[in-house]
Amino acid sequence: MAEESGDAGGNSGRRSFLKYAGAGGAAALAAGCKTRDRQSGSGFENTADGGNESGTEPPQPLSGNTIRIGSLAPQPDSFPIGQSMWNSTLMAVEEINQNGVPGIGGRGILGAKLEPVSGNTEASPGTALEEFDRLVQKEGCKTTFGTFLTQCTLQIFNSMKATETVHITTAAAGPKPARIVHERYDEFKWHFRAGPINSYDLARAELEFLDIYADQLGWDSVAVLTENIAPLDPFAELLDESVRDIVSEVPVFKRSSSGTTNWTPLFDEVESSGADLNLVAQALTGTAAVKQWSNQNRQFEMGGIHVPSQVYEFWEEVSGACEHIFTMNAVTPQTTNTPRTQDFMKRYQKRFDTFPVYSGPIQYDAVRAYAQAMAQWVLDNDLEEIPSNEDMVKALEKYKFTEGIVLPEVKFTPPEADYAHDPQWTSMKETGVPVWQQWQIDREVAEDYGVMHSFAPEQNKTSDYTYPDWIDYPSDHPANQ
Amino acid sequence: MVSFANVLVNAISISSLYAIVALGFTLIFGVGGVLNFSHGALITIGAEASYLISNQTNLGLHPALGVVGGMLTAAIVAAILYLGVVRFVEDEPVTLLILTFIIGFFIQHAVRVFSSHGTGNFSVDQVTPGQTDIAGISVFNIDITIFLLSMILIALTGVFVSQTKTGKAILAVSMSDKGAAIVGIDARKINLITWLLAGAFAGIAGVLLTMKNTGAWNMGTQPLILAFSIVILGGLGSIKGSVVGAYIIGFTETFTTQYIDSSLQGFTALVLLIVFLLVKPEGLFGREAAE
Repeated sequence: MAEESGDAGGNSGRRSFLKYAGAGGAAALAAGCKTRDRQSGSGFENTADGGNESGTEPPQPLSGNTIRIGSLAPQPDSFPIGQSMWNSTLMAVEEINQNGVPGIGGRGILGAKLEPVSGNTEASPGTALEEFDRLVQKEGCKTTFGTFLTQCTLQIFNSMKATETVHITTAAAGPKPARIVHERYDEFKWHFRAGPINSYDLARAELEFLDIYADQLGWDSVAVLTENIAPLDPFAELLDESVRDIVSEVPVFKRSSSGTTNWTPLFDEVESSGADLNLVAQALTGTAAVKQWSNQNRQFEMGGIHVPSQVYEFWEEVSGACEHIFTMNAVTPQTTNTPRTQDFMKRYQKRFDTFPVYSGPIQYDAVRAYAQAMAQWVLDNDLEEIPSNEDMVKALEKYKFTEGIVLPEVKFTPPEADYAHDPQWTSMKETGVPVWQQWQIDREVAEDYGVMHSFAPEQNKTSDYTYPDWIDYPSDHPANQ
Repeated sequence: MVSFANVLVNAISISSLYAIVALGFTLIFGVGGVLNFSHGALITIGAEASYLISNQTNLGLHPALGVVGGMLTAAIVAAILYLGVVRFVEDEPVTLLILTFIIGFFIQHAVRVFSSHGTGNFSVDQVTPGQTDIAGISVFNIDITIFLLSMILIALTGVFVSQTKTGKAILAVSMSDKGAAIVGIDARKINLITWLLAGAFAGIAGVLLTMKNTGAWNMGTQPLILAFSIVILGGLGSIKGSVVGAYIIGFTETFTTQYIDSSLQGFTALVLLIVFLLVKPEGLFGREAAE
């Protein structure tokens, strides 16, 4: 459940909840009448799970209200990243409406019904702005979640400021939004990011990963190819500064064009350099690279940040050519980031007949964290009305969310942090995130489809790392151990 | 350091592919005087058809059937294009140019909207997977196939045009459709045959390109620009010029991306196009572009 990050507030949170719980008996009769009214008009369904952990009927001070929330996703009907965002929003909203906020229970957010509204950004900054304005000004959304691509997030900053609307980013890793929040807090405090961790932290996680695993996995010589697009700049910068301190040799270090379709010349260069691993960062060109790497049976392993590999349907798209390709990811269908991850994955798969991309679980966590922060703020401040957006900024800054499925604990960085309102992250080893996913064949999990196993870090490991069988390894190489 | 032999093999493979693309483009210009800007879309059509025929998630048939299917589908679409649109505006070059341009985009976007892969890439299995050692150099079998197929198509086109009755009729129409009409040649029929052939070439190129790299809804755009550069360089309407132009562009591109900067992929062709248009607008073997 939501916890306050400071000690001072913790007691008041418990006090107000106990007050409501204690008042439960006295209010039972009246509440009973109101509950019938609410249920007929609210659209809530009766379930057996409405109580909280102590079995006490939770307070419903916000009953009768409807809170609209917007989802800003790219092509939510067809694009996997957008689909995952919208589908996960639906799941989170339905669960909150039926079972209340995590750890508190009841129905909705202390009685207030959530209503999701979909916006399609088309992954275009201009459209993102139009859709944000539509959701907030025409559809009456109190807050919005989503945005894929940092340019889309930045494009809605002025509207966020003008309408004083909280927006929680769930699918863009660029560091600039959080930097702006830090530098111009009073104007842009409305922006938060539930995930992914920002790209500088992701780059640090990649270095940490290499530091721990390069030697174990037999990567002495590493060629680095980073796609030449702005979101990958932090990776290129940090790797350029530090990767040579971690591995013995870096024979190739290049930015590959985002228009590359023929990888043969670059792969020839990597292969002739004798590199053990081609450490890539690819978003737009990843499919062609994987297909050619596999077709050409290249004598090096490949992986790093490979966006297409994060999509469950990728295996089908490349007819299994992605086997052994690894990528950083927030979560996979196999991992147990938290005790709730697998339950979510199974329910998602049952309902949508696929698994979500990272943006889905993050958006699911964001909606639930927001709902819980609102509920906790209402309880702590004895409110009987929906908190203002100004108050929601304070609430999101104050509480930490411990019911997530990606990070064990979501706590936003404070205004004074260099990157403000970003998810707090220390290290891969400590948090278990990001996970290092590798496409593998595992007949125990799936008969005729690839499996997105995780081989690192230890707490999220679901399988050992596998090596391509077409590479000739020396007998003392880890592949032959 | 990448061996020179490897770079040479890459250059030959990519040039062979460009030659197939340019051959169709130059045939239509040479015979009908049409700059067919929907040629890139025919490449996408061929690739998409092979994806539907031979990708495991679709029909899953042998990749060779994908090559044949891709070739036939693109040829049929090209014929429909000629019969349904082009023949009505053959005498209006500006309208024709704009129409083929728009139809090309329309077809590519239709593939994006209606295909199962949407904006994503797609792939098909290679018709000849694996590698072969030739004189100590490891060469991918798909590259050998592309080279041989390209040579066969160029040779067959040459023989067809110079030795067969229909081929000679094509030559006659390319010289003067009025003169050809006087000797009883049906120019419309010849144009239709040319569009069918060009479509087939584009279809094969699309399938091979998908097998070598991957496919995408907009995969025809870059080859179209390259084909345009190649035929300007070789000389508009010249088959020989197109083949030579394809090899010049292919070699220049491979060597610059390999030895100067990999981000120059697709850039050198445009530089050559500008240089030739300014310095030698008639190209190496053909008529002047401005004519």
